[in-house]
Amino acid sequence: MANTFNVERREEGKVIVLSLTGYLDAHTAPVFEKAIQDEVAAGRLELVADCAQLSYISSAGLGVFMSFIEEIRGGGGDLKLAAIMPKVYQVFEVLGFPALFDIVDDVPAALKNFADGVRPAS
Amino acid sequence: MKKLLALLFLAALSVLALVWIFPRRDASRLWQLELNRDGVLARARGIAKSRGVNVDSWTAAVRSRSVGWALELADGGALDAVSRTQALLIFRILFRDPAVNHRLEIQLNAQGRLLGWKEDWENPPLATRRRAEAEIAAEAIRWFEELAGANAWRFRQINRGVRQGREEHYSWEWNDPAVSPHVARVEVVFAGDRFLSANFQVTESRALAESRQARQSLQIVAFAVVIVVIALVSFIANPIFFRALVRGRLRLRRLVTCFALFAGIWLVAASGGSWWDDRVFSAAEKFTSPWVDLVGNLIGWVLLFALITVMYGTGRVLIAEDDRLRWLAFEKVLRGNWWTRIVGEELTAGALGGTAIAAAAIALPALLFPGALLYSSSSDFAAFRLPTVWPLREFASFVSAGLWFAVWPLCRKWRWGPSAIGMGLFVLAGMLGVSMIHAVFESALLPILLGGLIMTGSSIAVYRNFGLLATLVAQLAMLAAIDASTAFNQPAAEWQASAWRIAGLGGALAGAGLLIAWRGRMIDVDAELAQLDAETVQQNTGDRDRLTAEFEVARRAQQGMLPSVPAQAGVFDLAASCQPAREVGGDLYDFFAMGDGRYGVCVADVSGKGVPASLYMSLTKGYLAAAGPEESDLRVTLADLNTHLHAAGKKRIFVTMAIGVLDIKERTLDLARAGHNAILWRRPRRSESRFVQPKGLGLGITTRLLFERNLEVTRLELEPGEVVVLYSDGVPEAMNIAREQYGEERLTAVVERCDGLTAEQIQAEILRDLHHFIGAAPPHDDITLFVLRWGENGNQ
Repeated sequence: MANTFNVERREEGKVIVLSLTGYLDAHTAPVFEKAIQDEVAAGRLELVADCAQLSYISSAGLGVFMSFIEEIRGGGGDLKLAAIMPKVYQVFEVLGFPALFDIVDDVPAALKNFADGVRPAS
Repeated sequence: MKKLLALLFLAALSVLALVWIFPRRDASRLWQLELNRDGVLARARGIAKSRGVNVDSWTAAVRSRSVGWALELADGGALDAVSRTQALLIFRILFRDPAVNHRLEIQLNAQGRLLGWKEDWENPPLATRRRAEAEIAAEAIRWFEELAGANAWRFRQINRGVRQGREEHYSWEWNDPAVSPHVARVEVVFAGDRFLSANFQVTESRALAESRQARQSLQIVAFAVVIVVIALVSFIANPIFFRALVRGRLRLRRLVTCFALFAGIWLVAASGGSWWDDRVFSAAEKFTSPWVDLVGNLIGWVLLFALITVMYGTGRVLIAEDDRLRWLAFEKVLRGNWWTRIVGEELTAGALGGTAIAAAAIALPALLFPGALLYSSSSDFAAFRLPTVWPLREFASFVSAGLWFAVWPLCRKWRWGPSAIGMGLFVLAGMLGVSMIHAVFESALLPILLGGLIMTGSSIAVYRNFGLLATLVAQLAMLAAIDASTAFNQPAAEWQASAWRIAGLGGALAGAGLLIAWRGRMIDVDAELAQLDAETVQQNTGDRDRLTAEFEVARRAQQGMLPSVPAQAGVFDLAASCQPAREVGGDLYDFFAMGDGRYGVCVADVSGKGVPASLYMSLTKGYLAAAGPEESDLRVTLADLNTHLHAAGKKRIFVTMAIGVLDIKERTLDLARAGHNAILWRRPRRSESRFVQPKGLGLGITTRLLFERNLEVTRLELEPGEVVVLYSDGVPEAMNIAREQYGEERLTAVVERCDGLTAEQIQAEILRDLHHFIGAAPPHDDITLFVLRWGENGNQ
């Protein structure tokens, strides 16, 4: 069904994993935005977006990632992207996101990067 | 989808709950209706005929009412011998002769037993005294025995032809304090020889009447609170509405459609209900024509729909940004585009949710208050022509539709407390509204308030999770569930059939919703919301025309800003075009001379749609125009552009661009790709088609340093006959009706087919193929192309 989107939150130690499901477009972007906003407001700046169930992303959705990344990194944290579907990854890739964001294959890899302090060069 | 499945599950549970609880607990089980309207009319006609009054050609109207105090006793198992004789539900059947000066009212109980007969003339014929006293008395006794039935022996005659004005009264009473505090009475009235009326009635005891009086005043308080809330909301809403209307912020067409929608639904409900019967009854009081009463009544209804429309308009103008989505499905219905998925989803959600809410509102009070009387339905449905449409009555009500339209937006606009006070008022009104509709019994006050709270609270949950349309449909479904359960409680086969029909319609509604949700059109949410906003932008009708004209001007200006691309530059031929999907678009192409045989070519795409995107496009264009021709290093041009856009943009808007520097002397093309689609490079001599995708971030996303570090410039060494196509994502992402995308493969195929043609011809062919593919589907995104080709000697 079109335009269904869901964010599920879980904690892995200090890192918050947000699992995204469905379509991320202008309709559903506010849901994702609020989820990140809640974490940032609470000072939890180590975030992983688990995109395994994310089937579509539009420019509005991309905008959500972009609008928080500077704030999160400024606070010493990061927003890592994990398990992006090939179709969706293409959208990220064309825009050049791999150079901006730490994109990994799965959530454990993202957690490992947090543990090892790996961040994209900025 | 998950939410709908959850609702489906809840609805199924609800049906089970209703099926289990209703027959055991709801007061409607006590009515035991054995007749429906047709049966009642047939019975009454028979009775009239047997007394010598042929009413076949007379107008007939039927009303029903239940006797609250008796119902209460019956539910509590507190009936005694006397109160047991009181009918719980009474049918009133009124016949009026065609000359409208003679009326006959017959009263029957739910099983069709005669309770009363009353005959009246506008100009009563003169009373004659030709019959013997004994004969009249005997007739009176015959009536008494018929009405009192098996209990006749318990009555004592207390009036034997007592004169009251022109009438003679014969009365019998069963008044035995040892048996019951209530009094049963049969009264037979004659005017001279002529029999006028006979009726059987039980009067409740004084104590009971007094206690009910106290409770009825509670009901009046509830009624008053609801009226005050409604009046308050209307009072606040009207100025907002009319101010918005005058300023052209509301589309008249929508308002009219809204009005027509509710009026239409009411019409269906009224024709199936007792609305016309009410007119006949009230006209009969005064021996006037029902049509007279109709006009006054109709005016009242028209005002109601006007008020509902005012509430709709108010809400529409006030809705907060994140609430717009919740109104979208309802707006689509008003616009006639009901075959869209969101409409289907909300229809289903409403149908299922309403059922679940109804069950919860009945089941929870039933569980928490085991002894309480549940009185969920008024009894007038018993007389309806078409009980199946009975649930529609609430849809066109102010309390349902009117408040839902306006109260939530009003609360949010004024943020009373954290809008808690406002919502609190709303919930209170809802609770009391529900309790006001039904008689408030002492034992049932809390359960009814709880039921009202559940109904209002859950409806709010439906609104927040699904939307306005779902909430309105839920009100309807709630009633349908309760009405069907009530009808199922009645033994007559006709009532069972009615119940199945109502349940069936409810199921059909949910099914239709599912079908539409599955097969309906998907909509472009961004575009729809933009249109919703645009409609409430301040403008009068004159301005609206001007705005359309200005959009047209803007469009032409934007097209005019696009450079004219020469057909030839050296050995290269060029062609470019841009087709915006909306009046103004977010794509651009550009071409500028850099001197020394070098030219800049580019295609750019701003994220987003409509006016905001086109403004960024202009910004980009302006910058390119200023710096492009001057700066020889493509990297610097792009880095500067990125810096400007990064600073100007709100971080969510970005621009993608494919830009190249064509050197006609060296026959090279230096390409850079800032987050844009890959560039197609067709090489016929090598029978090769490639997509060139140098590294590069979108413009405006990040800082200069990062941007530059990730930017690659690729040099293409061109050969004769080769074609380079720069395009925006509107080309590969163009969709046909089957929602397939055009894709890069089709683009490549077209370009390969066009080996040997000029850039102009290639472009035309691409566009032709693209539009052929799209067919009748609406344009989704701007379509921009820039084709350059090294024309071979001797070719056109």
